Amino acid sequence: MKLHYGLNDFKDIDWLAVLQIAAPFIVVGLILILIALFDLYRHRNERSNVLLWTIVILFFNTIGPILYFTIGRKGEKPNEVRN
Amino acid sequence: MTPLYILTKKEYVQMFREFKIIWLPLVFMFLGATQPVVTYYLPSILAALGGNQGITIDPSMTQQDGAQVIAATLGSQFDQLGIMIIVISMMGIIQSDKANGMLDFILTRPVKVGAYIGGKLLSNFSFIAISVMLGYFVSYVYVNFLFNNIPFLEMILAIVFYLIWVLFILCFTFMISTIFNGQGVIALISIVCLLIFKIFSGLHPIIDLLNPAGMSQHAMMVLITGSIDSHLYGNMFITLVWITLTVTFSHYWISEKKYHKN
Amino acid sequence: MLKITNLKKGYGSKQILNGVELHVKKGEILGFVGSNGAGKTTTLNSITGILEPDEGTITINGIIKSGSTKYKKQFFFIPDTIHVFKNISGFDWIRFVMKLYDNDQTERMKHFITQFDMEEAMYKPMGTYSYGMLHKMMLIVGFTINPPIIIMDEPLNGLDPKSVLTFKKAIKLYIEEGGTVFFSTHLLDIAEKICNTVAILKDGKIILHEEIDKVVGENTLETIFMEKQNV
Repeated sequence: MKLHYGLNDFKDIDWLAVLQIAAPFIVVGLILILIALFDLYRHRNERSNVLLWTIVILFFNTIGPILYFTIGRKGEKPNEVRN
Repeated sequence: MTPLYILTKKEYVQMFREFKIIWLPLVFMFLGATQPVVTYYLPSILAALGGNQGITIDPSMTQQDGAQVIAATLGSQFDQLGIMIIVISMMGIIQSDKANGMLDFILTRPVKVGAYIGGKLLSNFSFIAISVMLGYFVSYVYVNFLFNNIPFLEMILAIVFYLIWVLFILCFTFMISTIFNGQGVIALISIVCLLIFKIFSGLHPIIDLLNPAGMSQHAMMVLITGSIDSHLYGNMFITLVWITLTVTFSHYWISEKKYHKN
Repeated sequence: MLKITNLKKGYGSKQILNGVELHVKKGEILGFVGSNGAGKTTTLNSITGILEPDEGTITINGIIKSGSTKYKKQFFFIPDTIHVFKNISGFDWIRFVMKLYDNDQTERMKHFITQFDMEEAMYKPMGTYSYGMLHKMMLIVGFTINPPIIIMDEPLNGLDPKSVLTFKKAIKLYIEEGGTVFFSTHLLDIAEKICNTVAILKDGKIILHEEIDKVVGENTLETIFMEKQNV
């Protein structure tokens, strides 16, 4: 049994199998990014730090959109009071 | 059409408009997939990294049983990041209604406090339960694919027990949201308390009996051992009592108008 | 109709209401006036159940105030701050509120929508509405539901002249159908024109409750109000 793996051994990995397993991950991550960006764009005038959030959503895979959905929409008021 | 139905529907309309109805299930599916996939590739990842540094790991050492992996999905993914996401997405459940006057508006209409609370809990619990179940199901599929099969009945039993703990998480956050007025305070208190419950579970049988997080522990035990612990029914009953208490207290707080700042 | 006896409410050491006594009869359009801080809003909040008073009883149509839906169906409250869902159309919102009252008189609702000139705005999201439009929405629901008593807090704020006219007509019709109006305002000239009785609240007590014609005579309500304030 081979116990030492080097970087060269990555070649031996069955990339198709990896892709099969990783594909759902990538799809879920992409959908989250798309929804977050869409929501951010739709409310671009009401949000603070739009650019910062765009970067966070795009570059912090999965965690970025989650952060945006949970705390990035603080300024949003789905309900409003007029006086 | 009863007020309960109307208010439940209203909550769903709001979730739909905030995209919550899409992102929360997706996040739980992501969490559910993480544990099996990471566990499966961990040996090769460690080996690849270790290869350069001269550390070696026997891959067969880290080969895990499927039941343990799915139990770890509940115990380390859902019970940590999952709790935080549930709490943060639910922290405004009553607080925002208090802040913007919706609570006053609803309560001057012919709606009972019970119907208002019921509509909130029914809609949010059914939604969270579906999200958690979807994530769990994804985990189950991955485990069956990458590891070994898990008996279907044990899989179902475990998620039922786990959902009781989830209901407690929701009701507890609901009560904190009723009492306090700041979103940060609500999130902090809820997350800290719930994580403390979680940490204390599994330490001592007597504490476990009283601890709502014991339900999560029992769910994991059903998966790993394949049998139901004798303390489970006592723990389930006490957890349901805790749930009733938090809801009753919230009902009292709202109907006695304790939420007014002055 | 609406009967308030010995209503008391205080916050800490500050006493807002000192035993309010008020008996509103059926068919009254009561102008509930008082200077800022006299306790108008506290009285309204006590009637509608937003607040629990320290002492006193409130009954509408003989039903004692409680959290029951039976009591809450006796009145329709139009607050001065109006809560809306920004993304929901006015039409959906009206239907939501009407469902809470278990009311589905769509024809009647459409009649009032036309009366208040709101047909076009009805399908736009409520976030785009002006304050006056929001008030019109509440008035439409109120007149559609046709409860025994409508309680309003500054109902004419933000309304354009045409809507004020419609409002007067709608109130007249509502009174003919057997309704009662409790109209809290500090605009005395409007109270004088619309109401048939007036109640003045001062320092947490009702100091006058009389038919407007009897009070006014040759003086305006304004002078009488100032006289009473300075006693």
